[in-house]
Amino acid sequence: MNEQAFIRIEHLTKVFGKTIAVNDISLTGKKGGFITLLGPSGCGKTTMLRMIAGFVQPDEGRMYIGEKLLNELPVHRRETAMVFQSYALFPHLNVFNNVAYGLKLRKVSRSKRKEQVERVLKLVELEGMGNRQISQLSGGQQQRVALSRALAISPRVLLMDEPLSNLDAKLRINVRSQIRDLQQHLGITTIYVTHDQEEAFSLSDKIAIMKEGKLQQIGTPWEIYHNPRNQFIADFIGMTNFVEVKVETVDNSNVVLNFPGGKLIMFREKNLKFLPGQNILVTIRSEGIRVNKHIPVSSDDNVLKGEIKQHSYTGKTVKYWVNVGEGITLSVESLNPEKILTGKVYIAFDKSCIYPISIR
Amino acid sequence: MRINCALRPFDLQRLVTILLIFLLIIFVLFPVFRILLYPKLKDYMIMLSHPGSIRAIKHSFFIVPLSTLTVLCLGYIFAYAQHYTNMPGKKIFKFLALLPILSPPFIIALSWIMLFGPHGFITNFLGIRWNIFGWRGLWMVQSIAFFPYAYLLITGVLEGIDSNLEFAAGNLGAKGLRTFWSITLPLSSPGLVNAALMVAIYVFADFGNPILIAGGWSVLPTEIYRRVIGYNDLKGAAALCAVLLVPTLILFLAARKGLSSRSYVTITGSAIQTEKPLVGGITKWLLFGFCSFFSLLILLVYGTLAVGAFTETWGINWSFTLKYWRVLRGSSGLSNSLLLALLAGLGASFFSLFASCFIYKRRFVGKQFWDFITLLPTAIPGIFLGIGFLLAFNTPPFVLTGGLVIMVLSLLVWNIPLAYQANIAILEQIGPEIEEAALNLGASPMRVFGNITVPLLRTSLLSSFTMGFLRAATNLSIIIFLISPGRTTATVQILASVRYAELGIAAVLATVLFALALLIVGIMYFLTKKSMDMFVGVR
Amino acid sequence: MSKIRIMLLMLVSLLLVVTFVSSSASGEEVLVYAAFDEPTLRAITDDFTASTGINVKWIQGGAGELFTRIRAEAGRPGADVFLGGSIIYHSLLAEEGLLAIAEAPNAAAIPAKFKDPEGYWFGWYVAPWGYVINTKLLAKELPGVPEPKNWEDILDPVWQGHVLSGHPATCGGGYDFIISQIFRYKRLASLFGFEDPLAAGEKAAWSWFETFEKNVTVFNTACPETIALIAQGQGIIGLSWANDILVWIQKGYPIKLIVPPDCPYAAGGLSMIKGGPNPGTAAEFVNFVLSPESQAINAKAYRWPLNPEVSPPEGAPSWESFTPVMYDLKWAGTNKDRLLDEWDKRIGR
Repeated sequence: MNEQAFIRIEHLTKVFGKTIAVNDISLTGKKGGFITLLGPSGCGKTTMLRMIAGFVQPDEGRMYIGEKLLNELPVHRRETAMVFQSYALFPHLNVFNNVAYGLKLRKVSRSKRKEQVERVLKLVELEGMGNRQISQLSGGQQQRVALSRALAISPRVLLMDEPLSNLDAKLRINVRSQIRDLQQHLGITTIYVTHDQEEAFSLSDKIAIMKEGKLQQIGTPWEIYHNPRNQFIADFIGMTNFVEVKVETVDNSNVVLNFPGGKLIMFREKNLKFLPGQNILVTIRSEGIRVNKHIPVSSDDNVLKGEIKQHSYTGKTVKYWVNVGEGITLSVESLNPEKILTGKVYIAFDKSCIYPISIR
Repeated sequence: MRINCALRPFDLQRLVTILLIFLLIIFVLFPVFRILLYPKLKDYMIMLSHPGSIRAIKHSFFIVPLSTLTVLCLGYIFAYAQHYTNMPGKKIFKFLALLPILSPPFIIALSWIMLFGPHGFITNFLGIRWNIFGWRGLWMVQSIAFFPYAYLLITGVLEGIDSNLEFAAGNLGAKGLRTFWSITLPLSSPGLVNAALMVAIYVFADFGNPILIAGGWSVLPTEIYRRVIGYNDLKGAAALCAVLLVPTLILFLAARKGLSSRSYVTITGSAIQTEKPLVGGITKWLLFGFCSFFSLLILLVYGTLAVGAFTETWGINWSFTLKYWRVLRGSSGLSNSLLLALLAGLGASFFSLFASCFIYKRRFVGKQFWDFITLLPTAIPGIFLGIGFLLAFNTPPFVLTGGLVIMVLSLLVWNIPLAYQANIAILEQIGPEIEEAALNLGASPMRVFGNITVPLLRTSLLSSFTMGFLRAATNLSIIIFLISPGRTTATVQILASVRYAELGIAAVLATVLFALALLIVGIMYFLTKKSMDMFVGVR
Repeated sequence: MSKIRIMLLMLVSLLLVVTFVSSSASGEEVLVYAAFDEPTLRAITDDFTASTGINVKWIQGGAGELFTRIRAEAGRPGADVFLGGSIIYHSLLAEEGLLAIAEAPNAAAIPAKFKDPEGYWFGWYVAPWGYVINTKLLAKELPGVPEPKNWEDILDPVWQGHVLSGHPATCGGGYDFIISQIFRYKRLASLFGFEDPLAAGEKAAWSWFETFEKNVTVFNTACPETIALIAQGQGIIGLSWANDILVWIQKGYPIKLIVPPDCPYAAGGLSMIKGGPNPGTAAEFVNFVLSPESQAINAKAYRWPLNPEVSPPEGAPSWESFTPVMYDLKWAGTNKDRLLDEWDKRIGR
């Protein structure tokens, strides 16, 4: 079977009343891959997931896993196992019976059931907890039971609906890496939903960014980070420093931009065309900007004068908001600072730190 | 949990609480104790060894589990069909399922006789003969009369189950009714138990149905009634009332306790998840058939009344006549019924508004106790309350009998728990912050009460008024001992008409009462755009 | 908030309307406890209101029920007049001092035997008590079984499960029935030379009832209920007032009246309750009911009027065709509680 399209979603659409929750979304995923649907709340990502699971019927479009068309299949025959945001553990069954539920339905023999349940519980580091009641477990433990319940039935596709959002920050990061390890170890194709950009980037092979039902961009984390297609995406993945500029000159490797604070030099990517006089929106990566009290000596492409308006110190980094004139404020992130600067400064950055976002 | 109500100046607040407690003592505790202490010990002994009483007790304990079981089944199936299928006609089924709440419960008995009695319409139509009196008839009639309450209660339970659990089951491979048996049913069982307890109280206290259809097969309420009107044996009647109170009180306490412990209701944030996984195929159509059958039955019941109101002699002479409508001219009791219902409904809402702010929300010595007393009338059978008021207010210094006042008060007291609980439910949802915010912004406590608390309680005030109105207008068991000429009610008149075999008059009154109830509910719906089940919220 | 205001306004106005309507029947009134059928009651009271302008309000109930109520309300009665029900009840109430003397010139026409010498109560009609049989059902269920002709026939076990009657505690006729059987057996006992014929009579009567009870499915709270149930085929044979039975026959049901010899009978009573709220209008009402006009209305309901000037009911058997059992009115009154207790002990339902 073609490695490429194990999961195929074609023109999936869902309308609720007057709202188009999912608007003609198509995407593909390969076997054993990890796709994340990323977007703010209300963008339709959960709806998409639920359509794949079969809880909601799409108005248009088709979904395939392997060669199987999912649309007509009832929920219980889709072989997609879901981990819910609220875990949805059966409160009247203990841990063992929760995990064994799907196996029992598949008429797996008692001894094999026991074997399988213990195996998956071990995978999530909950061995020996079979007898516990759900109410006795912590949030993190419940989450892992939910995961093992889904894994126990060896689904073709694992669906996860913001499974980490109910955990506290530190736990989230731990469990996140555990999930990634587990998924790669088992090789289960996974579709993951989250609104957390960092989570999506750290877990996924492929990310589909959604906004208001529409697909904004789909690609690897690297691709998206370095080539956000529009301002929304750039903003969502954490970029700041959006500046409106005018193209002055273009040559093979550089683009010279005019902006209210002076001139900037941007690295020109091969396939992108620019015309002098064009108004474009660019973003400057805040972690690429260096800030100094004195004029930097090295030959940076871009140097600007400015004044620090505010700073935010988190221990590991310090973030500066620097006013470079004409009402433009750039945010600068400085790792491992020696000290906190104030007042008039110089900021400098390489031409590869500027990205074009869109033509205005 | 502490909720800060609009804090009035300290002495006024305390005064109101004390006043409320005072009223509770006079109008709830006093009648109850009057009944319990009225008979001497020997009267209790006599009653407990009397064959008639023993028979009535046995019968009561027989019919209660029976009727409760069928009521729960009916209610569950209807509720399940509403929430877990997309069968056609759901809105109609929902509407019809709630109709029996709008009319005096014993109307079902009346209609049943007209339909299935020996000269009944259906009996003639199908040409069969069956015995619909006695306990069989009572069982059938109670099942229809009370299943709406089970339906409402169970709807609440089903809605409280996190539908993701049911989706998860399907996702893991459960198909069709498997999800129901392994997940939905077990998770709804605590709520089911609670519903069973509440329904059982209704069945125990049911007076109107047995008196019409059970014939000589007595149950405790009818035996109590006979003691009073036949033998003028108030002591014996009071003793039997005390006997009746024992099971209803136990059921009430069990329900209260059960509600706080094992509950599988989960509250998750997501708004999308109000849908449930649907069940289809044969199951869906079976459910559809089931619901259709019973809905038709209900339609038949009410249609019969409407037709009977215009029929010369039911079963014999089907010619159209308007002569029975003359009853509306004179002592039909209809205007009294409306007046009582209005006053009792308003009064109960009003009292509960203050009770929820000044008893429930405040902390003071004995608060738990008074909270309990406010809810106590739920456990008190109507007939007990009626006799209690009769005994309590018959002699100086409290002479109220013979007037409308005592009727209003007894019905009012009976309706307090419902209104009270409706208010509390909303108050718990809101939490103290909103009122605190208003105070913080500079609103005086009076203003907070008027501008914030009362509007927030708008829904529960309206719903409890409607419910109180309906219950008061359709009650028989409480007021039957409190009536006097010129101060009778439509329900009593209906009973008298049936006893005097004047079915036409009974049908007219029943139809008018029912139509008025529909009107009130319709008005409420129009004013608040909320559908009926919001209003007839039963706890 | 404005929706709430509208609501409150509507409610208040509704309240006012209802209060107005219910009290608009203001002016004079008389309150009645009526052990009586609604159509005749309404006919008589409508007449009364038309000619005097006084409103009549009533509650219907079984004679025993209403009697009990008047007793219970002693001193603070809720009504002015007790209408209907055997004179046994009225006479007993008079004994207990619960009635008031009503000035009623129309009472002159009533024979002395049927009214209180001091004027506390009046009988104004008589009616016998007999069998009502659903002939259609009889033919269907018990083919070949003949209709009962006397009081012994009904004791036959073949009737088991098919008989209905009235409960003596609430249905006046049910009590009259007991009295009648006692005095019927008393007469037999004295014919046979028993020493204490009344005691013997009572014993025999209880024996009769205990056998009778085996055939009865239910003792109804109200007398007319029995007829309705028989008419509608819920039982084959029942016992009730002949006048009510005749009314039901007119409706077209397949029923028949049989009044056996030595039948129970009662004179229907009328009295003014002592201490009632409207003594003036009460006396007027009592007098009106005793008038020939009212009695004529009553005769339409097949009650035999006691005023000899009023024609007997048309289409009904003549009073002379009946052989009612005579009884001691006073004894019937004073022994009521004891006899009901006996019933409770022996029959128990």
